[in-house]
Amino acid sequence: MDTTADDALAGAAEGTNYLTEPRGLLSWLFTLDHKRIGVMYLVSTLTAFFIGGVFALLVRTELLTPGKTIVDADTYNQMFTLHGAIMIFMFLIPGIPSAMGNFALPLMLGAKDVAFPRLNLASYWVYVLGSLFFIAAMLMNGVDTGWTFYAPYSTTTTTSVTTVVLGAFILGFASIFTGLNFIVTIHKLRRPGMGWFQMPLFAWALYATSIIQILATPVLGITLLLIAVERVMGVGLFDPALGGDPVLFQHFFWFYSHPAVYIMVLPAMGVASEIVSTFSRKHIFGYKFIAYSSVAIAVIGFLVWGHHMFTSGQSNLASTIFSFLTFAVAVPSAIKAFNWVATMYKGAVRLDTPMLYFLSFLWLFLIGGLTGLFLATLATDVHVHDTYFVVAHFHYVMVGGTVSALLGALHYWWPKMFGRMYNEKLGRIGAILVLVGFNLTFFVQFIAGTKGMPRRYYNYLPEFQKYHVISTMGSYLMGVAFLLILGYLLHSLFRGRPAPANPWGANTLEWHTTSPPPVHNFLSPPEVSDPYDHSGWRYDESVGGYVRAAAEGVRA
Amino acid sequence: MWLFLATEVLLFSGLFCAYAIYRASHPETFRFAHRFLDWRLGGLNTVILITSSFTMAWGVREAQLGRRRALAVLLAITLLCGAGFMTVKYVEYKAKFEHHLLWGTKFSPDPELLAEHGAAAHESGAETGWAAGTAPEALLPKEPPANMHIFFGIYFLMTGLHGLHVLMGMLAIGWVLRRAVRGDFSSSYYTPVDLVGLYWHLVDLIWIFLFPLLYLIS
Repeated sequence: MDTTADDALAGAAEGTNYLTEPRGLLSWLFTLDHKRIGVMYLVSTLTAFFIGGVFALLVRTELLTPGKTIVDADTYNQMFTLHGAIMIFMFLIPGIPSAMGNFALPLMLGAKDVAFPRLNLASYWVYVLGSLFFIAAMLMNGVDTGWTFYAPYSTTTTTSVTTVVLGAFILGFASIFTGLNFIVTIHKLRRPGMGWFQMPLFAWALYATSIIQILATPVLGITLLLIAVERVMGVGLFDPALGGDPVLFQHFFWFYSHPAVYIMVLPAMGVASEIVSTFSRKHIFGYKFIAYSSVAIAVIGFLVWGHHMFTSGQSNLASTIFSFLTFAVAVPSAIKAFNWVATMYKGAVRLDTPMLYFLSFLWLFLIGGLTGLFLATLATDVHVHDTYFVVAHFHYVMVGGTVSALLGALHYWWPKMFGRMYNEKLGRIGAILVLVGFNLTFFVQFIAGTKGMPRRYYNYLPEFQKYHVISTMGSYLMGVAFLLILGYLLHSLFRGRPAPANPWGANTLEWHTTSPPPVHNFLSPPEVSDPYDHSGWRYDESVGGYVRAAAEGVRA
Repeated sequence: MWLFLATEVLLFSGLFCAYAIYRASHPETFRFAHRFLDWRLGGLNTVILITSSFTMAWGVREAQLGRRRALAVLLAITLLCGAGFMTVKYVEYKAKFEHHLLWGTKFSPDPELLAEHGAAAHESGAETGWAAGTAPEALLPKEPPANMHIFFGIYFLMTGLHGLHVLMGMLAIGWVLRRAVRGDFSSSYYTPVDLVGLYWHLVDLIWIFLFPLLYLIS
């Protein structure tokens, strides 16, 4: 039996769902419910996003004029380092998998919870502990190494590098726990009748992400431990003054940190697959290709770390191989992009807020990906290495890709998470403002980069000022847009229209239960059918959402 | 659990990589420095750990058969082996600290000790296949090579991290032992014994790699 309009209203009226039951702060802090852990992760990662964003705005403000604008050079170094470290370790890496994935994955598989609920809670608290280390470092001496902690500077500077790397080391465990949990959940807890190729594509994306989280994170772990040990005890593995090898550190570091960018973007691609099918009212195009390309990106992603080191003195042969492998990643990424566009083709596209975010994601990810090819080309990379071109490239992929998709996911699952509808008009304005602000901020950086503006510099030649001014204005616009989004989302929590069980007419299993779901997710076992077949749902004015069409429309 | 073991292997893989790279770029350092490690103690530890792996596996078998008493005894033996391993490790570390054969900036052994050691090794011509005193300098230098502290850095990092894992393994075995004595396990439920056993075998396996790499260079 599936939810009907009556059920949906009844559930909302009784007010018994995972948010209200059991009550009390302790029941939240020690909850084993994946939905609550997802919500807690969401609040925490968005807080990290806010802190990182404040640093970003300070950095952009400082760069308005050459020389000193608001802070001195040392403080500026701390700011871009903290912006990078917080955004990457505390927001981008856990953002979609730990917040959205925790909430949606078990629902999508028709499960009651993840495989290891206690491990899930442990993951959250480990994340909090790691974040506390970050905050402690901020309050002590800060960090000024750049988020990459390159040796030998990181092993000799007087700032609180040890605290930060220990924090990142601890955050790594949170990431590993989440990955372990998702892999076992996907293997063991799918509803009977849901084979690997009846899973939603978001689950495939999270599966590929989890593989990377499990296999790459320990390498970062040992690397950061070595940095800490080197600082505390003076071992000298990475410090050339002691006979060590700083390039070895770079190899270790990028062996994790390149796969890490796929940890950020693969779940984003999974979200994109869900949104594009739902809002085009059309079956996803090339399901198996999208599923396999997720895994292919994960696998190839392990073999491209050397492209960060084209100018670090590795052999030409190694550089050539890494360059080729980097080009190879573009193939599965392009497969996905073509499939998404083909899904929209001849679909009944509705430009609701999540779809707008999907379109920004597609557009920005394409620009980010294609400029990645410029950087994978050895000759151009030597020219633009460590310039603003690189900064713009990875912001297009990380912010344009991951943040757009995260906002898309947030709006897409918001009714399911909190049982309230946000203001659609403000949502669309917010999405457009983010897109415009983002492009203003980063598109000019491509131009500045090709003209030779180096990244991380405090001072610059006067001819670069026009680019920096445009960029800073764009960043302010983005800041305003994010505040607007925060505003109407918070407002919807209290004043929003109660959400129907299925506001978008999607057919993945999380829409087969009430909004918000009951404690054990489903009042009755959901029927498994093709997740991208929307024909069984029709719009009902009285509910303001989709309800089951008459039985003849339902195909099991 | 197997995935967790994979993460452990990768954690150590970083150190194995560092080892391989430095060994390739400074072979003479390794050849010289490893002679300060006593292969007898290392060998003793290898025997101890392999024994403990055997008792652990036997214990898992007894758990499957539901023989609680035998399981408890075997777990206790495994735990004792772990303790024995750490004792030997302590003896080794203590000697290194006394000679100041430490890592990086802390490396300050008595130069005479080094020189004697080098000369003796060179005279004996051991491990090179050359007759006494005729081995080329590059192969077996009289003078201590530079960068010896790197070898000791790697030695301490690898054995130290491994030692930590032995301690954690012992804690886990202690926990399983307590539950075994309480009678928690039966032939239908013995998962914790199984998993702790897997972990212990991994710790053992890593040592089996570390021992020849660090102690038996020639």
